[in-house]
Amino acid sequence: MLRRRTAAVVSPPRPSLVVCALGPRRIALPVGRIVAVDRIASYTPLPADDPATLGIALHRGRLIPLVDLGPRLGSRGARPLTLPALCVVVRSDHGELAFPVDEVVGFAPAGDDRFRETVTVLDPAELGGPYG
Amino acid sequence: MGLRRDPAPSATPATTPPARRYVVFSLAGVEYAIVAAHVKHSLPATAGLGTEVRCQDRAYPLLDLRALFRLAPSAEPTRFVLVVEGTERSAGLVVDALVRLAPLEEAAIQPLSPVFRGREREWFAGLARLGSRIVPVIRVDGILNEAAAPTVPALPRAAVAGPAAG
Repeated sequence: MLRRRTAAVVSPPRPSLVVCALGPRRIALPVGRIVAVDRIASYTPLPADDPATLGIALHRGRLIPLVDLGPRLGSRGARPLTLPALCVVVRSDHGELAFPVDEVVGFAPAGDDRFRETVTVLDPAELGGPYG
Repeated sequence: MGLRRDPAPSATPATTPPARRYVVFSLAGVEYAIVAAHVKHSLPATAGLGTEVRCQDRAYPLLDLRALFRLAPSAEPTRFVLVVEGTERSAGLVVDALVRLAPLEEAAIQPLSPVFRGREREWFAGLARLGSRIVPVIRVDGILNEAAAPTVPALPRAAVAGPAAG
């Protein structure tokens, strides 16, 4: 009787991060936290203490905060926003929020350390959190 | 300036609280709503406003909402003062234009996201949708508390590309 040998299949690591361009930066977010990537045609500015919070956008019938990640990542000021703006909508621990990006560059496996020198991996859970 | 009145909402179930009327005003192209019952008067305001406005023999401190919200100063020669009375304070809120009166049900006002965690939580009771527009709803007492404090200087907000197109 022949024994069937199971071939060792090495599957490529599943991409679990989405990599986006934000100015000169590359940022990455876990796929599981991303609700959508959409163009947002308009938003309503809402005066706020945090210069990173731009206002409110309507996305799929829901009002969600629009946040500029630049100041959160250390940029001095918020960037001018050209509409329609490509935005990533994520689920944070403070509810859904959207932030503009220049481009979605691609996908990457979470465990791959090779790109960590050039890409900032963000924790969306904390994106809506304290600023300072 | 006459205010346009939005039609009253259609018949609602008896359990739904009646809609309150709101004065909708604009500021740098964005519409805001404030409970009409708190707005006692509206007056045109020309350039060179002082620090208070007199209305029916009473003086009200002026609070320019553009300055409070760090918006660029208005280039319009004529703006408007809403004389607003709250629980403990009253003031003349300087706005760009009066837009209309609109009924709004309390249930239609959504609270601010926890992402907004600064003074804006004192200024805004929430957000409402009026037609295709998103309208921040003023928290009267929170705004009037600012009338007692010096306002911050106007700062350009480079990130604000313009109001929602609606």
